[in-house]
This record gives sequence, C-alpha cells and structure tokens, in this order.
Amino acid sequence: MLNKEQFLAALRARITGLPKDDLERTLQYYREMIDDRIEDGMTEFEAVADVGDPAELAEAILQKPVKQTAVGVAKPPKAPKERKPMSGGAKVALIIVAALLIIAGVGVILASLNFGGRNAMEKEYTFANAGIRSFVLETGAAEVKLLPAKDGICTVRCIESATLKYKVWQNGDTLHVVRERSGAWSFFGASLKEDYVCVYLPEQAYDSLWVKSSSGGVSVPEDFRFTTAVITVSSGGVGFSADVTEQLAIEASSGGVAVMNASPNELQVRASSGGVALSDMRPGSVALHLSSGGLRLSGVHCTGDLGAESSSGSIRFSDVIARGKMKLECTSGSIKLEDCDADELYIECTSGSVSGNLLTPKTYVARATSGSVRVPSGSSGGLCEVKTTSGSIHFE
Amino acid sequence: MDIQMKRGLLDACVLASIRGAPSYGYQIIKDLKPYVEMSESTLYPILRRLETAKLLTVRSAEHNGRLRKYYHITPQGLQRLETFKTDWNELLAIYQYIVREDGGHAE
Repeated sequence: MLNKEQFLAALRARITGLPKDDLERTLQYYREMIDDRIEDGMTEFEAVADVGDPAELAEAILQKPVKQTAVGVAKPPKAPKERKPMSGGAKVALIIVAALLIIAGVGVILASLNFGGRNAMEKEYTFANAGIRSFVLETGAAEVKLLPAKDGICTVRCIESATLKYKVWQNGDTLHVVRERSGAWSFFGASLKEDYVCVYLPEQAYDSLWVKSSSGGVSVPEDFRFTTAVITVSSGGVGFSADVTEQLAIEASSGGVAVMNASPNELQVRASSGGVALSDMRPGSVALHLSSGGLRLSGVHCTGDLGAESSSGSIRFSDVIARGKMKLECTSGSIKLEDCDADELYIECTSGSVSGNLLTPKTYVARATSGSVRVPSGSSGGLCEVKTTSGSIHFE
Repeated sequence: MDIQMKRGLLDACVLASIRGAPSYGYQIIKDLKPYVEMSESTLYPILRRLETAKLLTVRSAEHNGRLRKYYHITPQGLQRLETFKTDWNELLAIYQYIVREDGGHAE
C-alpha cells in the first residue's frame, strides 16, 4: 500500500525519460487526481489505489497517444493491459533510474518551490489621507521597499498568490502589512520570482518603522525621516538611507547591512555573518556587534561614544570621529583606522593587527604580546590604549 | 469497438463534459462514468491532445489551499462537437441501413 508521495516517487522513477515539462505536468495531474479523491472522502491509501498502479500507469504514459489502452463501456473492472517483457535496454534504464531517484527527490522539492509562482498577482491596498504615521511590516521572502508616493496617497503593493497572502490593515495611526502563511507550501519556503511588498508614502516625516523580513531584503531610501526604525532580517540585505532622529536598530543574520545619512541619537547594528557598511552619518552613540562579517565605517561622526566588536571580521574606519569614547574589539580580524579620532580610545585585538592614524595627538599605551609596536611618542591628548595578543600595532 | 472510432468518441465525450462549464480531471471522469469507464491514464493523453489542438484551454485556480487545473472549452472545441454530431448523423443513416430487416436493396 502506497501513500501519495510514495506513489508519485514511484511513478516519477518510471517516467524519468520524459522531457522535464511533460514529466512535471504528468506528476501534477496524478497528484491532483489523488487530492481530489481524498477530498471526495477516500483515505490517502484508497485514493492512491484507486488512481492505479504506478508501473501500469507508467507504461500507459510512455506509450504513444495513438495506442489507447482498452476501455470498457460501462464495465466496472478496468481492462487489463498487456505486460511487455522488459528488454535489455529497459533493464539498464531502470538501474540508471534507481540512481537518479535522489535527484528526483530534489526535483519534487524544486517543482514545488516554483509552484507557488503560478497565478501570482499584484494586489494594491490604498489608505487615502488616513493619518498613518507608523508602520509594522512583516514578510517572508518578499523584499520590503519604501518609496515616495507621487499621488499623495499611502499605497501598499504586494505580490500575492494561492500560497502567499498579506493582511493589510490600519490600527490607529499604524499601518500593518503582515504575511499570512498558507498551506503546506510554506514549508518549502516557496519564493516567487517577483516577490515584493512596496509601501508608497506620501509624506516625508513619520514616527516609527518596524520591519521584519526573512529572506527578502529591506530598502528604505533617503526620502523619509523616522523617529525610530527597527529592522530585523534573516538572510536578506538591508539598504537604509533615510534619516532617523531617535533610535535606529538593525539586526541582520546573514544579509549585509548598508546605512547612510541617518543621524539617530542611538544607533545599534547587529550582524551575524553579513558585513556592515555605514557611511556619512552623524549619530549620537553607536553600538555595533558583528560576528563574522567585516565592518566598514566611513564619514561617521558621533557626538557620543562608539563601540564596535567583531568576532572574525575585520574593522576598517575612515574619517570616523567620536566625541566620547571609542571602544573597538576584534577577535580574529584586524583593525585599521584612517583619519579617525575620539576623546579616548580603547582598542583590543586578539589575533589581528591594529594600524592607522589619528587626527589629534594622543597618549598611547600600546601592548603587543608577540607582535611589534610602533606608536608616536609623547603624552598629550586623550588616552589611546591598544592591546593585541598575536598581531602588531602601528600608528602614525 | 474499433480503436479509431473509440478515440473520436472519447475526445467528444471529454469536450461534452466541459461544454456547459469548466471542469477538472477527477470531475470529468466522474461525469463520464455512466457512459464510459475512463481511467486517469486514458484521460490524460486525451486532455493533452485536445489542448494541443486548441479545442480546450487549461487554467489553474485555487481550491482549498492548492492549485487545481480546470479545463475550458474553446470555440474550436464547440465546433468540434458540432462536427461530431454531423458525422454521427451520417453514421446513424449507415447504421439504419445495416440493421434493416428487409435486406439491402435501396427503395
């Protein structure tokens, strides 16, 4: 007794000679036949048995359409088909088919991945002059894009399909766009080719933006200003150029993060394996945590403290200034500071080197366990404490 | 029954089952059950052949969280049914001749 997936696998194995389109279409046809019988009240095993035996069906499928199998007229038992003795070539083909079964299994998953793409359509939700000030956006594989609305109306455009729908609603002054999981297809994380949620905003200044995306990226252009923005992505990337006044927090698991222009009082970025690049920002205090991605800052002038820690990625700062403490920690990457400065610096590297030049004189306290040390002498200016275990220290 | 005759009959049966409204595979088989015992493996090549000949079109639509293929008859498909009726009127005349009780002489 076979279940549905066993039946389909058995059938697939016997008809692998077919062109890919025909193969998938045929399997989908039989899958549908089983599903319809189950819906009619049969159990899965009954439905599979009623559809037929994979070996006999495969013979029928592989025959040219001219040769019809015998059809009884209003006779309950199906007419038996003749079994052809298997030729030597067919035996060899079966051995190859057995080896291809693993690939076929992948093929089933790939086919179902693409399946959600059919009948995808763009849906539009409009909220005209509805006093929307904040956003809660949650997607799976769809990219989240904020865009200026040229028509003065707040509009959400997203791609929906049989397997992917969004709930879009307004609660008070907050617009919610949340992905709805539907059916077993979401198990495969079916991703559509054109998968996006675009939010068109008529105004420039808003209150809070809260975005969570799984594998879709997030893109927020410079046209906007938020009081707070919290963005969490899993494997998608984040491109953020808007202004933020109070707090900007971004967390990315494996996607990269690129931020420009924003000047929040508090900036926090946490990245696991993606890199982080910040440029041309005037934030208050900055806290950066990276695991294995690299950290690149350029033209970032903080009015407060800047703290950055990186596990295995390197840290490269260019024109980075902190009116406060700058604390940098790197486990296995190196640290390079170019035209940087802070009131006080604490730099610690475990196995990487530290090098660079600071804009104002500092009192250097440098300790390298096994590497060389070369720093400017003198003891004016704020403290710059540098420690490394197996790298060297070199400041101009 | 002669195989060529049967094939033409089955094609027409399937077209007739979707003439009034679009239908789907399993439903077509159920509808034809009183007239023809058709298996999945018989129906499939018929549907493919009718689609290739543009006598029907296939569209997927959502049903209970899955996609189901629906078959829609085309104007050409309706034309084919008309042709079938004409052919069979001719055939009926021949049948009458064959089974006539009083021998084969024309009147």
